[in-house]
Amino acid sequence: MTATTRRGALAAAGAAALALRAGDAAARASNGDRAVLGRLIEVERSAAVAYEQAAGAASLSSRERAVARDFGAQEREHVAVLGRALEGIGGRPPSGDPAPADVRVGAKALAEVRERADVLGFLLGFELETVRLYYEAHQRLGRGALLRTTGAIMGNEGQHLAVLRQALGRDPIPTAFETGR
Amino acid sequence: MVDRRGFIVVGAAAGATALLPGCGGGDDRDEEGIATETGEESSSAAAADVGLLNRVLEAERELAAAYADAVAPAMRGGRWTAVERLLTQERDHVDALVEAIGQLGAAPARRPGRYDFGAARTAAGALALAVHLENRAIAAYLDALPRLTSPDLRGTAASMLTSDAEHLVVLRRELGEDPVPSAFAGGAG
Repeated sequence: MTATTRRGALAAAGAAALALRAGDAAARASNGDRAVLGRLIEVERSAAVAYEQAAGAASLSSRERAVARDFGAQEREHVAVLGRALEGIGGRPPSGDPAPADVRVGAKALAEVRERADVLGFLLGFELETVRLYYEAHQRLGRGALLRTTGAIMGNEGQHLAVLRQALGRDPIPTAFETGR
Repeated sequence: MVDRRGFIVVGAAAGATALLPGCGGGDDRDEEGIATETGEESSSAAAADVGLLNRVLEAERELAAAYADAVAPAMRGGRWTAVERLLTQERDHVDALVEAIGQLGAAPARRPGRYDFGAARTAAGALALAVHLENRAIAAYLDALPRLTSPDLRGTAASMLTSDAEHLVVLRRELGEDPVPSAFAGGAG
């Protein structure tokens, strides 16, 4: 092998190694993004179940039940959009809703809350965890195109938070940096 | 609750108990496929982030000026004290963005001398102006998010986007409108 062809071969081998490394990195990024989106979809499904349960809670006013119905429908929109995004990167969205007994905030299960303040407090706690999840997702997702969607959804979850805080007589906007903490 | 100094200086990921799969902080980002950068690439990425942050900064500055110069005067009489809270939080966003740009080794873009919000407005007109500018700031964040290279900055930007989205709830309520008319802040789907 001449020096020229050896250099060429070395360059080609180096390029191939870089391409392989880039391909590995892209594959790992896709795997990571698929896992993050899958988790977000699970949480959105749980949020939809929580609001749909609240929409039937006798302790809430008719206006509050209507708001719960609207928010539940918005969570379903999130599930649909995130599902399409996950399919777009080769993933399969988790299917099926959790049972109300399996929707929890800390040790408290959705099925256990009855009184108005408890129902609204549960929803508030769930939204805080959801916002926190999205906040983390923005630091983890590798594909920029996903961040426009997740950003718009995180903003909407923050709006749910503000409404729930007001309903509970709290400051609706206690912080300039909403991270769910 | 998160204050600006702790948030920006300590870094967005610090102290978080991970909720996401494989999310243990920032140390394993290479394992997630985000390539290690050379010094030159890192510098270029920082410069790109500075440009994006400056665009968001411009939107937040105008928003803060609108609350101070157009909304607060139109809501005089103490009827609506929320305007002070909104103004304070927009100023917090401005300060955070200036600080973030400084941490990237750059200077923030110069602010315009003054903003022209037109003649004195009715309360409803002032609130509608605030709604318009909040939506514009959210759009600026949504435009920046996919292109910011720093994961911590993406988290910071998302938290301020969400704060601005929450402001819309307060403004729309005061206007007698549906506080959450869409499942997607800024209309992005």
